[in-house]
Parts: sequence; C-alpha cells; structure tokens
Amino acid sequence: MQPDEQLVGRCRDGEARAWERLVRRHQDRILNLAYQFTGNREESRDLAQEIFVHLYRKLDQYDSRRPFRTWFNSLARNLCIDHYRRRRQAPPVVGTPVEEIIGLRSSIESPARRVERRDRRETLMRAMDSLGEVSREAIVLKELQGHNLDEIAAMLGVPIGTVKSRLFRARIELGRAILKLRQAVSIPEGDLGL
Amino acid sequence: MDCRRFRELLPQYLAGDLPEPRFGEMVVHETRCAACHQLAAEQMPADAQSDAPLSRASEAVERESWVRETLRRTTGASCRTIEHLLAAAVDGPLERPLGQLVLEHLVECPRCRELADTLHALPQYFAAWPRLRADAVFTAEVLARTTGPMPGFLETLRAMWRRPGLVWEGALICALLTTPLLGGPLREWTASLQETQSLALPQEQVAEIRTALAGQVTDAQSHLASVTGTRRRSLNDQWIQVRGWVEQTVDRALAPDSFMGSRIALVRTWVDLLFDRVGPTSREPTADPSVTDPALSRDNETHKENLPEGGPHELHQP
Repeated sequence: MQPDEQLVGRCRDGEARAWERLVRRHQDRILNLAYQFTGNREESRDLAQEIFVHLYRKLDQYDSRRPFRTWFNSLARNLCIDHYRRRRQAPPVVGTPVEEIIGLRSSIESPARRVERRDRRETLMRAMDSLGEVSREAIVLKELQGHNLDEIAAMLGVPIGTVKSRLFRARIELGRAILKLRQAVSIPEGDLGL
Repeated sequence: MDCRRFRELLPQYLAGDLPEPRFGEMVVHETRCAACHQLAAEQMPADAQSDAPLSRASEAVERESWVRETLRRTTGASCRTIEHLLAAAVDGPLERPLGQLVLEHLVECPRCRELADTLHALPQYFAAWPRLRADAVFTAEVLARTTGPMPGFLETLRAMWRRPGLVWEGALICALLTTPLLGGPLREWTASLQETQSLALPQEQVAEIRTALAGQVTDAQSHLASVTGTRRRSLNDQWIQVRGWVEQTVDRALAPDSFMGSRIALVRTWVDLLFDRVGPTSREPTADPSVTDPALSRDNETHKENLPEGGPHELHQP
C-alpha cells in the first residue's frame, strides 16, 4: 500500500486518482471522528466533507517531513473543535436514531442485549454532551478514535503528562456524568449485568 | 494515647464524662489494646454489665467502624487522589501499593465505590458507540466538491455564511475602517436614502390608507350630514382646532435635523389625506359634507380666510 505521504505528493502534482485513494483511505475514520464530536449523523457527514475540502485546499501547506496522518488529524481536530464550539451554543442534538447507521450487530444480538447496548449508547451520548471541550476531545481521541498518548500529544502539541492529566480528568468527569444520568432514571450499574 | 493515660482517664471514660476528642482517642486505644479493653470491661458498673456480652459485641462493631472511618478521613488517601487512580486504572491494573490504597479507600467510601463501578464499565460504554461507514455517495460528494472547478465567488460567500461569527467580525472591521474615510459621503448617501424613503414609502402607504379609511370617512361624512345645523358648526370648529394643532406638531417635527423625518412625512401625508377627504377646506368638493349644507359651507369660507394662502396642503409639501 502506498504511504499517505507519497499519495499527497501525487495529489500535489494534480493526479486526481491519488486524491480519490486518499479520500477513500481516510473517509471512515474522519466520518467517525466528526460523528464523535457532533453526535449527529447529518452534521457529521457535512463536517467530514468540510474536513476533506479543507484538506484539499491546504495540501500545499503540508510539510512532507512530518507524518501526514498526524498533520491531517490536527487539521481535522481543529475543524471538529470549531464546530463543537459553535454547536454548543445551540441546544444539543441527542438521541440520534443510530440503528439505521450501524444496523450491523442487530441481527446477531438478542433483543435484551440490543436494548442494553442502546441504553449505554444513549447514556454515553448524553454524558458526552455535558463534557467540556477539552474533556470531550481527550475522550474522543483516546477512547473512541483509539490513538495512543504519543499520537495525541503530537496532535495537540502538548506534553504526554498533560494528555494523561486531561484524559484522567475527562474520565472522572464522564464517569460522574454517567452516574448522574443513571441515578436520574434510577438504574444501578448492576442491572445491566456489569 | 498510651495505656497509662488510658488508665488515668478510665473512670471518666466509663462515666461518659470525657469530652471529644479525648473520648475518641480512648475508643481508638481500647479497640486496639486488648489489655485496656479487658480492664475497661472489668471496671464497668454492674448495671451496665447485665447485657455485657451482647452490648460489648455490638459496641465493638460500631467502634471498629467508627475508627476505620476516622482513620480513612485522617490518614487515608483523599477522594481526589483515589479518583485519579481510578481513572488511571481504566487502562490496566494499578501497581500493588497503589491498588491496595484504592481498595482500602473503596471499602469505606461509597461515593468513590460508585464512581469506580462506573469507570470500570466505561469500556463497555465506549464499545456501544456506533461506528459509521462512509458510503459511495459520501465519497462522490467529497470528490465533486474537491476535484471540480475552483470555488467561485458565490461558493466562497456560502462558506463564509456558514461561519456567521466571521461575517459579523468582518463587517464590524470594515465598518470601523470605512466610516472615518467615507464619513462625509456616507452621511450624504444616508440622507439621500432617507429622503428617497420619505418620498417613496408614503406613496405606497397612501394607497393602503386611502382604501382603509374610505369607509370610515364616508361614515364620518354621513354623521356630519345628519346632525343639526348648530351641532354641525360646533363639530366643525372642533375639527379645525384639532387640525391646527396637528399641523403645528408636524411642522415642529419636520425640522431639518430631525431623525424622524421620514416617519413624520408619512404621518403628515396621512393627515393631508384625511384633511383632503373630510376637512372643511377639502379640494374634493364631492367629498365635502358642506356641499350639501349652505350653512356649513359659509363657516368653511370663514375659516379659509384665517388660513395661510394656499391652505395647509402647500405648507406640508416636502
């Protein structure tokens, strides 16, 4: 598989095929990143498209000595944060009908398991909406995107200790938010078989 | 506290006369020291020993619990430290001394225990987060937006519109930059615009007002025609007074530096229209009720003499 950096070089030379390969390679990840920041399907599609359009216009500014993935992640993350800030001024969109999006495991899951999964997902989405910008970013990058601490530190331009600190604080914040939500509906954690 | 001090304070301790925190120290020492506990049990009054085995057992449990709680709050790790360690434990088990510290804290702290349960379940919550898969339409849309022709002016404007904050900031900066430079011409342009509006807007409003008031004017005319001659003259006098007051007010408001010029011009047009239709100096003979009444017509002629030449209409022309 051709490395991203070479594909970018070909894109700069005006090769449309290289750009298409680059888009196809990263589109799932970027779409999910956008979804993890917005929590809404339509918004995430628009945002992911914006990210690619932005990337296309900024390709000339890419320094080929740096890893493309890190650079692209930083760019995408900045746009997601901008969008998240704007979105937080409006009422949050919660409870997106995501069954139609995933629709994957539903066929092999038992109904009880599916309800449990949906319950967790909705609780998590609501809890995530209550997080601050920095905490949400830490959770998204580490827990949902699966980046390691080094990658996140490079992406954010901060020391690893700061990333750890933000992550731990975000987990505590998220845990408290989930606890609060569960207590509001009086469902102890044990009822889900945890 | 040592055993010697415990024995000194034992009588007061048993009598319940010891104040806090001395009493707490005695309890802690008794719980820890079997000899002192035995001594305290022996010296306990007979009436208190009637149910000694049971009461001592329950007291011991309570005391042990109280002591543990006291120790946790004084010498144990703080909730803040434990929360941090719990968050770190999501990635994997803690090293032995830290893990032991957390476990000891969790035994006594229900709040941290709840948080620990939730944090322990976090990976299952994360696993429930839906994963999207980009479809062919998404890819096609991205490629169409990127590999097509360069974005035109309209598309750039549309992109800017998606960031209203940027638009407003830009507008503010432009206004701040251009106002000092274009202050004079801008004021002239604004004034001309205002004048245009004051001329054009009333013309549109006039047609609406004419239609809306037509019925009421007709009713007023009918009413004037139906009252007696004396009463009619009285009404006419009142009407002329009101008209004079309105004209003066409008003229004052129409000063050159008035910000309300255009609005007042509109009001004045309304007044003109109304006077034209129902006023005693109407230029529309068919709309004047005095045409049907010679007495009223005479009165009108008298009042006309008192008005400036050309009537109020000429005065009000902008």
